[in-house]
Amino acid sequence: MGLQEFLHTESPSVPDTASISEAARVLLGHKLSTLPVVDSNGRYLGMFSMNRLFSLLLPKAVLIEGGISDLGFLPDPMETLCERMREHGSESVLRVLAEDMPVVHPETPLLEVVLLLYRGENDIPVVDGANGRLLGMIAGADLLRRVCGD
Amino acid sequence: MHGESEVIHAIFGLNPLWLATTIFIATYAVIITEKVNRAIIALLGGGLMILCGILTQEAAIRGVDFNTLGLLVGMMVIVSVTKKSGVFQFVAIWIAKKVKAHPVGILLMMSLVTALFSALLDNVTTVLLVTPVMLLITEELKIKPYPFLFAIIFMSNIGGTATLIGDPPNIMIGSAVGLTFNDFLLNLAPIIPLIGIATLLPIWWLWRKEMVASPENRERVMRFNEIEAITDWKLLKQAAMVFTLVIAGFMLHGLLHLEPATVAMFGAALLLLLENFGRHAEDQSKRVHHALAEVEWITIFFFVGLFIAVYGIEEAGLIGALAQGLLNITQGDLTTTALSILWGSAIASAFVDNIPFVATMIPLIKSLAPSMGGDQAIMPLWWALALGACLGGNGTLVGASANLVVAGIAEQAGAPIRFATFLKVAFPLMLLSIVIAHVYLYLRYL
Repeated sequence: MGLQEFLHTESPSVPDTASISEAARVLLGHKLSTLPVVDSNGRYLGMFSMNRLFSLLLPKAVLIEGGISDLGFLPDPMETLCERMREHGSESVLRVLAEDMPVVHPETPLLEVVLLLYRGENDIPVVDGANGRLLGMIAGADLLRRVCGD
Repeated sequence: MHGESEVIHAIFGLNPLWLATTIFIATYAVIITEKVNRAIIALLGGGLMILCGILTQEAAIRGVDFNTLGLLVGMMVIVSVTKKSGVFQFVAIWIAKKVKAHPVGILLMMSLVTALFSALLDNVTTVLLVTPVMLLITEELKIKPYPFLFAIIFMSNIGGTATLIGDPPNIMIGSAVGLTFNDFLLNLAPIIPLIGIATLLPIWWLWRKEMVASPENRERVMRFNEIEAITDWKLLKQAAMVFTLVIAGFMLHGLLHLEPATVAMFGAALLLLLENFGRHAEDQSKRVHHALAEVEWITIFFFVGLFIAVYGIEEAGLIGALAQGLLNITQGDLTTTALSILWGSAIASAFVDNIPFVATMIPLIKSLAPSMGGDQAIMPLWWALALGACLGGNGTLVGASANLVVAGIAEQAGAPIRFATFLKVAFPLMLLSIVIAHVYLYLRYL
């Protein structure tokens, strides 16, 4: 069975010219946790995610390997968080692009997709292997609905 | 440590001296290129010494200084357990607040703390603990972290020079020569504060205009709650007790007839026992596994390979020939030899890893003893080697492992340290520290 059945071709994406705050608005507006970023030819470049947005709110010292693992000693930071988001909001979405997140192709076996979903992905981009264009997204929930018989 | 020399049957009847020298130089050359992980190359070099018949496996094992390895592993385990308590973050935040979060005060106090930590822990461990907190503080103050990271690099290498356990070259020298913790404390530590101050002043002067933070940003640091940084009070108390015992053990190891490795490994085992006592078997396995996994195994296996490679050239006669060459140049004069070792070690250690350099120099200096009046007479040579190799590491970004670790962390945090930028200030400052060491050695020992 191909992935066509589960492919959402109308899933939102953002262009590589978008700013972080524009991408964040699309993400939150559609209640998604990840969003594909494409170039002007529709080629898939990487994912913009809520996880990456959170990383902008944290001090760099916790994001580095072997960095600070506990921030309990920092004061209540809501003001700081808003300030950090304002500082980064106008920057290009490419600054926080995750290029190492897994993608699948239309011919990828279904079980491989299940494995990726098991490893923590919620939505997986489907990319044309020949030209790198984004074809759509696969939502884990759709696949689960089908196997549960709903 | 080393046994009697054996007759060498090199492969294909080749000349053992030339064969061992070729293997050693090739090993050294590939380590310098940094194209392949240094542990792999050292192990291959050591392995080739055995495969080519320069050493038997038994001889190779005799060449490995297990006292150095035991001391390093023991201390690494103690630190990996201790740091989970959050004590190192507590200290850094506490001192930042003590100086009212003023950047110049932070520079001075963090330098002092780095030097002290570095004297009691190894340099890499120290910078791994201090650098992230320093980045957090400079980010909150909205000032450039570079001068502070520069100072951390310098002070870790300078502080580490002061004690037997502060820097791997000292551990190797102490173990090979049988020098005690107190020997290092009495002979090297007295000059360290002067070197520290002399290098810190130019650092402050060069970057003084950048060390300005707004009152609002300083207030952000003042709102840090250092008590909250302590995440495990019970572990903190246990670690403090074990650490005190270990330091006391180091200070008394001469009297107790215990090698430093025994003290460190026993301390590590005791701390692991205290941390795990009464826990479920599964939880214990997880914690012990984590503590042991934190040991820098790359460094440990690098040492193993290197000890074997150096023992290979020693057995083949290269070290003896080099020692004779050095004696011919210096005419056996103690002053000339000591100062040559100091400056030679400093320049070499600025560009190549000081661990293989010191590993090679130890047997060389040992073999000078009979021609220069015995073991006691050549003591200044050991201090010259320790000062040169430890302080020389400050000369370039690749001069010491701690420098590269800070550079790696800075790069991840978006504040990269470039080789040439670092060199311009670091090399003259390193030379300044060696001039001070030169005067100190001359006045005290020569």
